[in-house]
Amino acid sequence: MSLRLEGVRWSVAGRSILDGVTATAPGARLTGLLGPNGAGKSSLLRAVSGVLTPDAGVVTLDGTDLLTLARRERARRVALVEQEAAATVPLTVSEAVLVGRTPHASRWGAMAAGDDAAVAAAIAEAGVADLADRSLATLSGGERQRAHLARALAQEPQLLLLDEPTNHLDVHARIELLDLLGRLTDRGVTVVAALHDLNLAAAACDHVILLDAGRVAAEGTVDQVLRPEVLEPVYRVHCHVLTHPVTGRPVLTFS
Amino acid sequence: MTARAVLRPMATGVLLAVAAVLLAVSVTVAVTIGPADLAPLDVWRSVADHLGALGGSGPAEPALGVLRDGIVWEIRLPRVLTAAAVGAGLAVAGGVMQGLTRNPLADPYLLGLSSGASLGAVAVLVLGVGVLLPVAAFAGAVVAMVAALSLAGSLGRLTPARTILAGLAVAQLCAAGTSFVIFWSATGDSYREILAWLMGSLAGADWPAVAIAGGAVIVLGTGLALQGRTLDAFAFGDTAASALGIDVNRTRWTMLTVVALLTGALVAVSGSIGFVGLILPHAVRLVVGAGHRRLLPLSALLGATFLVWADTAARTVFEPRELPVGIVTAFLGAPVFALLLWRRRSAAGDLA
Repeated sequence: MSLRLEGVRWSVAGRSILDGVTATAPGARLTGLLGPNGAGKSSLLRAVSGVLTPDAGVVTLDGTDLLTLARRERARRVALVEQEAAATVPLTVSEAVLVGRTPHASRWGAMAAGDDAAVAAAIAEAGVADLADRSLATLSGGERQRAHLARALAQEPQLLLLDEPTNHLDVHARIELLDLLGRLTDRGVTVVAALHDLNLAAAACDHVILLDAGRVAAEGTVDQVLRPEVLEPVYRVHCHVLTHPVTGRPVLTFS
Repeated sequence: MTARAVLRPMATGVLLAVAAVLLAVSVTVAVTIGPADLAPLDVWRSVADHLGALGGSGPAEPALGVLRDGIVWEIRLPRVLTAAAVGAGLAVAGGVMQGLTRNPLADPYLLGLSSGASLGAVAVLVLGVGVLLPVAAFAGAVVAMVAALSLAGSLGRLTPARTILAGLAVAQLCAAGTSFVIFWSATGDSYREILAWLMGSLAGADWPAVAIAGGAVIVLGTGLALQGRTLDAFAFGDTAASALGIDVNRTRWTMLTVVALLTGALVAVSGSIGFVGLILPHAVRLVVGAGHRRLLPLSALLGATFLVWADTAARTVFEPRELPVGIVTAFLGAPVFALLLWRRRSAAGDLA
């Protein structure tokens, strides 16, 4: 289930945000979408999830054209967890997770046969079972993030898009989230996460796409992309790459 | 233990059944209250007589006697049923508006509907425009809705902020028009009539009013109440709703239009009764939470019950004089709501 982007363009009010993005997120892998603020990471995730319609380009998931797919059909394959998703939604966690079943619901909102099972599975997988009856508004940042993730999982997506999922999370919550994403890719879900933290990407991603001003500056494995000569012109910083003594993964320092 | 903690695990079906029984009892008892004393059984006997007569098998002479039967069937029952229908419709319309715009101050009159209806009504009452009052009020509401939605739509996508601001512009314009007509041409008698209409009154409710308000609630209100899951998705914002496969713009257009038609029909028979559509959904939310699948049907049943009692108070407390029911809804409802807010003060913060 690999995600393929070809020449995706999108501009708003004459300003080009996505300027011909061509890239691939391999199936059943965690792909990091990197780049400085304003590089177009969020817009690209929105284009793939159908929230915005690109002016040009092709977006396919496992060969299926996502841009011409009906909205509900697309929402059954692709789920999006937004950055700082609304904090004040006064629903309980289990009500919020049921919302993830929207693309599977009948027109008049009757409960479909698979709803209860899918909601229970999503709640269990995201580890929010003991929060099920709590209001979203009373949760901590990490708990809320997992609740939103459970909502996305209830969509039973083949492709999961996350926009800055680790913002506002403490170290423990970050590790938990990465473990969860690892379990999702293990069972075949393709995950694309926009990330600010390059060391997090270095530690966890199978594949990275580096965006700069709406274009792909580099794409490939962590070792191919997270190198000083690639990162320095994009982020305009000096960068050193060390090797993690235990994992052997790259560790970046900046100056 | 808070009210929410007690009520959460209770099945939605049980809550709805309790609320439905409460409404049925309220309607029956409300019909017995008034200058002529009646027993609850009399009400059902009269209803049975008339329903039997509709089937062609009823007795020629009502069991209650012509006078008492007339009080039940011709005067009190249509009024109480209209109150129930208007209360249910306003509460559902308000709950939907608040969900659709994610704004706790939204109410059924958001698109300038009550101001438009008022202008239509005043045109009849003061200027003597030769159409029936409900027709003029409904027409005024629809014109206001079309103006507000066209204005909001012409600005781009139909966002909550644009919807609210466009409605505000239309409401202000219509209100100025209404004030101008009253100031320029109203005389003592018509002035009281206008004031009663502006504050909402069920005094003129008859069987056609029941048919209009009841029909609108059954067709449009039920359609809206079934959209709970979609409205829950809207709670996460337009982006999330869109990523869930909802056509945000089209859904908002459709639902705003249905709310406006429903509200227009209600305003046409009752005038613009305040408070029910704004506060009642909040009160229900404080007790059972904000999930629209239970909020909307419960709001309908409790809104109906609330307005039945408010109108009963309006016609009996200062007998033989009547208060406009809009005054009573605020007098009765505001303290109840304040009490709920106070008791659930920790939850009040996350209403929006």
